[in-house]
Amino acid sequence: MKKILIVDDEPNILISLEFLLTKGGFQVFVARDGQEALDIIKAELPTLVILDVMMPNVDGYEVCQYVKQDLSLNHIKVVFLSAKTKEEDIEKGYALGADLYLTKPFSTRNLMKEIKTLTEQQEH
Amino acid sequence: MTGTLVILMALAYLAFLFSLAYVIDRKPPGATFKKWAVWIYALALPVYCTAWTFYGSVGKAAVDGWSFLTIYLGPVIMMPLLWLVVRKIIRICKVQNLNTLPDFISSRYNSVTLSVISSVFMVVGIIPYISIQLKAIKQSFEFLVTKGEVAETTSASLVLTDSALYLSIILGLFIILFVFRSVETTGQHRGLMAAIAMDSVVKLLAFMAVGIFVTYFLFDGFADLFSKADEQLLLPFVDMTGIGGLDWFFLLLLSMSAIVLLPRQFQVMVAENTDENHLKKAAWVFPAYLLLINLFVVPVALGGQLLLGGSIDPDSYVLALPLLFDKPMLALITFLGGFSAATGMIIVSVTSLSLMLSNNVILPIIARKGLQSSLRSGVAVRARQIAVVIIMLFAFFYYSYIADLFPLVSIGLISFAAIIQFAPSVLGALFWKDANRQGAIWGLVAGFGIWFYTLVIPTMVVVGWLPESVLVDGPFGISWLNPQALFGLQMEPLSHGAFWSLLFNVLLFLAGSLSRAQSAKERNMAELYAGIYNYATMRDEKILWKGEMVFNDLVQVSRNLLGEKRSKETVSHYIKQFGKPVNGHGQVDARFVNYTQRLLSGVVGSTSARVLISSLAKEEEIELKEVVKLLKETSETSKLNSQLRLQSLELKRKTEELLSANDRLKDIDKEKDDFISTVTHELRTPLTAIKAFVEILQDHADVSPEEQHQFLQTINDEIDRMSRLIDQVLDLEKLESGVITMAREPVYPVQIMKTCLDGMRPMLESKSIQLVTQVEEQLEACEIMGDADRLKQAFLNLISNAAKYTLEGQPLIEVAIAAKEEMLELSVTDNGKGIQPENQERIFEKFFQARDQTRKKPKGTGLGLPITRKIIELHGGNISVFSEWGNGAVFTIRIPIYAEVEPQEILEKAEHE
Repeated sequence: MKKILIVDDEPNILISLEFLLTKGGFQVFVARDGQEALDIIKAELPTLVILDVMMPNVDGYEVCQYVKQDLSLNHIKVVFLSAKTKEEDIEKGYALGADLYLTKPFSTRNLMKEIKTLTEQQEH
Repeated sequence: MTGTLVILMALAYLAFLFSLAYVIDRKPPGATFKKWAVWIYALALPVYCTAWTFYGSVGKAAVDGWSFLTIYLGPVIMMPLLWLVVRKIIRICKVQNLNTLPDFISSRYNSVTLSVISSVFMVVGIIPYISIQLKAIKQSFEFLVTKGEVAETTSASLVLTDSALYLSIILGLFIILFVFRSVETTGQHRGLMAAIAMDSVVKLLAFMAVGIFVTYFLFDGFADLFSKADEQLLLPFVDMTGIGGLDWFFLLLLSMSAIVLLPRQFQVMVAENTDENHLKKAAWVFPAYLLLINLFVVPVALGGQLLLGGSIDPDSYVLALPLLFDKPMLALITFLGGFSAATGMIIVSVTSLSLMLSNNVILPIIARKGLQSSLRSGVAVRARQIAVVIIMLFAFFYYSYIADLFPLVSIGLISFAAIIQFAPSVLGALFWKDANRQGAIWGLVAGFGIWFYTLVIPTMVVVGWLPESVLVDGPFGISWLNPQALFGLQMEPLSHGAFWSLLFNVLLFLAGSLSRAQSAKERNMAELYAGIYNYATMRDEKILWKGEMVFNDLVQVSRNLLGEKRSKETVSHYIKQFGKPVNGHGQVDARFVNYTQRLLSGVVGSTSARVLISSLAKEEEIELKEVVKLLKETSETSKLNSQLRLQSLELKRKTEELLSANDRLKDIDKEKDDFISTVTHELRTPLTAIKAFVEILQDHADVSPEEQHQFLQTINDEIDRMSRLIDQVLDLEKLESGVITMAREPVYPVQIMKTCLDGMRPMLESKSIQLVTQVEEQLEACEIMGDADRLKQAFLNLISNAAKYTLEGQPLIEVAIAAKEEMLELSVTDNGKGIQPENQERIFEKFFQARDQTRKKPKGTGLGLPITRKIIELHGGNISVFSEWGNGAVFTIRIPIYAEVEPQEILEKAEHE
């Protein structure tokens, strides 16, 4: 079962995504801030991480950067889910190596499709 | 000491000055020079102190006591007036390109005659003065060589007399070589000015050296010197009857005018001035210099009398004291000091006088019709050189025949009395618009005539050219015509001459000016002179000129005098600035005529330039009404200018206001942008959750009823969150913009607080938060003016905030109300983590929570505290927070207690009811 980590400080978003991804057949981990996220990433090596940007302590960008610069971690897909919708914020996310940047509010259907594609890519 | 050594020293000194002048002239004025220029200017003014100061002051002090000081007090009195009088003269001379006093006068009164008269008077008045410098040098030289032993047999020694002649030749050559090398004459003699400033330093140091030597080496300081001088010697300093108050008055008057009007002073102060602001420095440097150079005059005079007695001419004390008390080196230095004082004076005076003589007497003759084509720059320079030779020759002959018979001071003062004759016409030019040519000529001629009669004729008697009876019985036995007692007036001769000459000068100047109308052209110049500060930037078009002139004639003349290159430059400069110099009818533009005339003035003087221009043209008479029209235009322009200036100032102010308003707007804009982006961000978050759950419910039929219920509840909560946020944003917006007006009626905050607490109690109990209240009972009745609903909103915000942040486990909220200094204090305390010091002010900012990345996600909208603060502020109160990190937080509201109902409000209330 593929592991997915959801990182967000909004409990309701965590609940909804956890529900969807569990239904989608993933093993779901949740983290409420960047530091917690990094700990789980290192311990569980998830296939994909869904990241919020604005979080206490370590923000989403920093998590992404850490993951993509670490050779042992950089195979992990990173999907940003952020309320930051400005062009420069999105560019920054991709520049840090993100595989996808979706803005809130997002379509869960679309998200699930994208996640499926990204997680299957890895098998090839 | 041998004559050869002294001559060598003198020549070496002159060579030093020559090379200084040469080096400075050769180099273009760099930044260093410009830095020093103000000092050079200030130190050139003491060219006033001549050999007369150097030797004569001591002589005068020894005989007459304090009266020697008058000729230095006058200039000091003049210093504060420099800015008023001299700056105006400088400005006029700059604008009109004038170099000398006769230029200045004749240009104002528009008269060639006046120019010739005043130049000749000037030369006649000053030549004696130059000759006494020659005399001083000769005497000091001779004294140094012979140790004063043959001092009385000078005329026998032909060789020594010749030395004065050689000196005249050398100084004449200096002027010809260094001063008159360039064609143009205005303000360009940097080398000359530097040499003069150097002279000033040398003579000051030399004189002070002698003073110190006499006071501290020959005596034991001032006290010793004065105590040794007996009553007889001190008498002139104590008893002031030797010189009357009237004499003091005239001496002051003479020296006050001399400091500005003497040709050498006018030359350094006006013609060589490069920056009016230099006057400010000169105004204190020059008096300071005079103080220093006079410091030791009395000690040296007394010392001389005590040690040398009557055996030696007091004029020679300065030199005799070091020489006879075996200090030959000091004596030599002293000689050089006197030498520099004399040469400085001669060089500048002759420079100025020869400009007058050539530009106002010699060149105008050539410039007249028929000869003007031969007037070339070479001729102008040659005329100046010839003038130098003439003046040096006259000075030398005057010295040989007359000057030798009089003390230095008396001849100098005669020159002063000549110079003051120019004062009325100069002052008239500066300040009296109705002064005219006739008045100026009458005044000058009368003044000089009487000057000559009362002050020069007597010297001729002494020399023996006239019978002594003239001074005893009057000429031809007519006693009331006695030159020293005119109309029977008995006075000290100098005051007598000054009095009568000035009296007639002023009276005739006034009478002449008032008895005849000015010509239109003169009126034009009168306005220009008196109102020079209005015309400083517009000159050529402000002088009326009417007539016909062939353009090529004018250019030819300008080419002759300025040279091919310079002439072309000036024409193209003119065209660049003002357009074509020839008007539609093929006639030369008046402005161009004036422009060219002004340029030519720089080379040949204003008089010759004027003569040249009129010789070229068929000039037409100008009618007064044209001048009046021009002047009216000018004053309108001037008014317009000042209006424009005001308007442009206003414009500048407005622009600045606009810029700062724009900055403010930008700030507000940015704030607004930030606000909007924060609000949208805050809206996106609940929206995201809502959308997610809605899609889940749509897409998944298999959601359990519990889950379904939970998800719908979440959707509901998030919708509430959004509407709360929207409400608060709008609420804050209304409060900040002042769109909603708060009620202002008597309310009871303590009761409001109690209501709030009652309402909150169930919520607090559900979270098992302990509530402690401390309210002083008598405050129940405490009134403030305000809005009950808004206050309730504020209090609820604080309480619910406190509830959010209480300590987990033992949550506690304390509410206290007290009155302090006419303020009601309501405080809400929680026992949570508290607020870090750096955030204590920022928590009142909008959305601070949302932006603060160090906290857990906000539990509210981030607008509660800003709204609370706004409400409290609108009640005239304030809110503050006190917190120690880790120890909870205290929010305190202070609202002024309502003491008395304002009458206005009672009225309003009554009306409402």
